[in-house]
Amino acid sequence: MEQPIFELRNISYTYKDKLETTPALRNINLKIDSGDFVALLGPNGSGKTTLIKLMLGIIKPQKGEILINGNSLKSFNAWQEVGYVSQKSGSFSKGFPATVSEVVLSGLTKEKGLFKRFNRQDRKKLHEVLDLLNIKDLKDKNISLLSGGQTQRVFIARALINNPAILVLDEPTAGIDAKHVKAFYEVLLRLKERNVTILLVSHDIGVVVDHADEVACLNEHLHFHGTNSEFKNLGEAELSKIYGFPLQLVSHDHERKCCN
Amino acid sequence: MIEALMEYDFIRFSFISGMIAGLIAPLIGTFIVIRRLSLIADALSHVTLGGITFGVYLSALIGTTINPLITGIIFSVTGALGIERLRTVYKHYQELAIPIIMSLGVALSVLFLSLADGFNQDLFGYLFGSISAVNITDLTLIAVIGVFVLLFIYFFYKELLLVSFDEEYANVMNISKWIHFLFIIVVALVISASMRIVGILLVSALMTLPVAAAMRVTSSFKQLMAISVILGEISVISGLFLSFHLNISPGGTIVLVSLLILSITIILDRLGVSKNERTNETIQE
Repeated sequence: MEQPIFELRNISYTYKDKLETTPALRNINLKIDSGDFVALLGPNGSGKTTLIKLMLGIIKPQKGEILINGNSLKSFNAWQEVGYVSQKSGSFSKGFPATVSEVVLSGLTKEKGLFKRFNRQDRKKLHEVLDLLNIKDLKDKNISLLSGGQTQRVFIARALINNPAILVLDEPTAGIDAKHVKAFYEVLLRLKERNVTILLVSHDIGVVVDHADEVACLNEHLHFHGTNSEFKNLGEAELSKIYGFPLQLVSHDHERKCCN
Repeated sequence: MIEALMEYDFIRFSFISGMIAGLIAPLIGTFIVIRRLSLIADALSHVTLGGITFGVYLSALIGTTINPLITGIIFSVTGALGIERLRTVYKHYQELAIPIIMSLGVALSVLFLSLADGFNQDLFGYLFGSISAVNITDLTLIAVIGVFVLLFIYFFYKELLLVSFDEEYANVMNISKWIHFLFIIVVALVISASMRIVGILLVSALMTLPVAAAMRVTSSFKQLMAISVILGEISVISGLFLSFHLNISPGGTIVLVSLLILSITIILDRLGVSKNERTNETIQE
């Protein structure tokens, strides 16, 4: 049987300072298979970003083990196969004197390796990914002059320029208008056809559930992990337990959406 | 000055060292400024001063001349490592590392100055730069540091850019830890190489002012580096020229020219001769 691309075994993480401890994750067990499109849902402060940081090796688990392709995350070094868009991508670039092309090309840094400079082949990849995200006309613009939505698309392009086998997206569509959100999910579906494993954190339950194969619901504990149809059949009690307030998924003729 | 350049070795040595400083200080300065670490250069220059006063003290103590540039470099690199260490100790208040190391530098300077029995003319040159103090040993050391810095930036440009722009992403790509370490050592070396001409107290200005001016008129990072270097060289050459003719320390004239250039770019920016379409605020969708 094929190894899961990510396997989290009994992961716990607590934020600590001198005065208090705040548990973020408790005993999380999760498997993500190659080529899966998994949506990670949960309210604010439920540990979604912490879980992603653990899976990307940015922070180390205090308890448990993370395996990637069956091997410990500690020994994993092929980070060029991972594309990542962080939650704060859109905000920290303000004032940075770099063009869109420079920012997107920087996504190839790990793949190129030490002592090598970007070449014509890399610029070809740059043009392809800018085309994919429909931001070709912004390539020579200063990143600090872009709108929030445009900036997010630049960061998504940076995550995709490697042709990653794994794509981790932490609220990538925050601040993007409906037209470009639709275009973004079309890109994800194309990537899925190429067997890219996608882990997507979002608050947009309705849209995410319509596109993802699997849904994982987090709120310190992993409350649910199943297919999107299983998620759609969750009752009000289970959803309310995850989100901490009365919540139900309602469906109508052509789409599902979330309401309270 | 051109005649003097032909005639006197020390003027030629100063001029070449100045040109090297005008190249490498703004070049490394672009990364310092965009990483919002402008004050690191100040902290390290004060630690370098501690090293220089230690060299002067040691020379007086053992009766043999020790090149204070060497002790300055040793202190500067040690201070750089101290800043990097403190930045990890105070993860959420990383800027605290700068005043801590700066105060250490000043305290050591005062200590060794007192032990060495006060100020001397040589030390004045280290503080504010000197057009006559660069000897062939200094020039060789500065040239070696210059080549090292250029190679460092050439080979690690993409890693430096990524770390400067997005430290978290660089962490994910597993490339940030060692580059931080190398970068801060290179900053220490650039300070040591530039201080002979600009002076310890003004060396950080040569690293930041040309970059601050270039930022007003550029939109890409490569342009920023190129224009910063051009402005740095203009400042150094004009500053040395003024220093020679007015018979004053070059540090002051170089920095004043840099400030003049910065003022001009700010005025031009205000008048609208600036980055592409800045007035549009953001590009329309």
